[in-house]
Amino acid sequence: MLKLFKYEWKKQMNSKLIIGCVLLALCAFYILGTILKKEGWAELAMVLLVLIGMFAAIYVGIESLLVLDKDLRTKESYMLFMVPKSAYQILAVKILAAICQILLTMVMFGAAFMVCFTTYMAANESLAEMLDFLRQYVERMFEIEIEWSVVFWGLVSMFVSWINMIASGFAAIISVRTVLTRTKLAGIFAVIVFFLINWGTSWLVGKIHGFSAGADTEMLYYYLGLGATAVITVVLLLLSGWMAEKKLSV
Amino acid sequence: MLLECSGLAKYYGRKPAVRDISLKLETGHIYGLLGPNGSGKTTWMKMVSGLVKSWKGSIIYQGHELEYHDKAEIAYMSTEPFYYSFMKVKDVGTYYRDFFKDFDEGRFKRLLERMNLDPNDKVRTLSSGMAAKLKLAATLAREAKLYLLDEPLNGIDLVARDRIMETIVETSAPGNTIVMSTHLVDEIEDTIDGAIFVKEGEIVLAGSMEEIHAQYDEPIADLYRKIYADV
Repeated sequence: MLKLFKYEWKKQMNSKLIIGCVLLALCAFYILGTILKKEGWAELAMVLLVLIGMFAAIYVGIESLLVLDKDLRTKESYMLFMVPKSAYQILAVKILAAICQILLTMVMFGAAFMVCFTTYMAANESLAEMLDFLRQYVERMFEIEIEWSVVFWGLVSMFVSWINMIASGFAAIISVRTVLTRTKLAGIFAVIVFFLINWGTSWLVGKIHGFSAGADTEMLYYYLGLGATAVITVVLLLLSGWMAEKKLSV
Repeated sequence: MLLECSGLAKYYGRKPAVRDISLKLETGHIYGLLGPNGSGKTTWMKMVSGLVKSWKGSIIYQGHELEYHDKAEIAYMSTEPFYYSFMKVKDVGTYYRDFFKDFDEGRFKRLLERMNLDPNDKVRTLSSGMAAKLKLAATLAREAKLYLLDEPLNGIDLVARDRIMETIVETSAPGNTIVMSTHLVDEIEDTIDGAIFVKEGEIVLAGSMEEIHAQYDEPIADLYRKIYADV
């Protein structure tokens, strides 16, 4: 599994290198702007950082789908399917690689924002003031009554929804490549099937939400939706694995 | 019996790639899978290597239905280049070492030298002939039980062809089986000990070289011309 992961990781590393270089350049631009008291530069760098962050989140979020599509569209698919690994293992590794890649991207952006924040504080406040600011910030954070369970389940919900989108994409790409082996329009069909699967998932989750009618807690509504999405995700992944193992020709 | 295929068929849409192939392969032989382009040789090889799924029929490998873990013993060399574009020549060896326990790294290095391949060259910059040599080096560096070589002489110059045929013969052993698909019949006639003629997705003639010579009393190349005269 680790060896499969190594190659899946490599396939997606180019985009991370590009993102890394852009972040470095923007950080340098921000630092220069701050040191030289060119506020316009620093503001522009920050705006670009946020915009690129949004773009990178979308791109990295779907990159595993683009990689799978390329794998199946080109002869590079032989590299995956000639090795003595089951299609289930291959898809599991692809999911794992996608998760790690998005985490890496988050860490990169987190580090870039931290660098900018530290630079700003260092340039505008004394070190003691900066530490004081941090202390106050942390204190304020813990004073506010944040419902950590809500934050946690919110993050879980985002994660499950994203994995569900990846699973839908895998199912769409594999099913289309299985049925339409040599069609140039397979990519377009895969997009259509992807939206159909998502529509079906929303419909099913909506139906399951109906079971919470009359319940006194909103959390039941939420848990039912989350559970249904997770189950549908697992079913989609198993179905994709079965298709790739038994029906897909590359 | 190493491999037994029964009634294999594969269609792409309505177009048959393989109509009905039934054959048995014994261990310790070199087979020539002969036929013109589009006769179904490549599709059959891809079915046996697990890349293409058949519509009907069965593939029995060493007494059981072919499964994904049998790929650990089957070395397939595709006719098309298929290595990841980010790889260097030496990375191909690392990939095979990572996934195939039977991969002999020392033999891979020796084969690279013999074929004048630089380990540090990028795969995507190789000429078609050099890329073909790399595929062959990686495949033959495995100690597989079944080698499926799809057009191993395609794109290879005349001098290098002899070297490649030598390497294939060296690889052959009592414990393995080699199947070479080709339409360059003259080049392999002295090497193979069994021939399978495929035409329009079906086997039209198969047997050991002795049997075929006894029955037809003419060189394989002439027989090939007769069989495929109308193609």
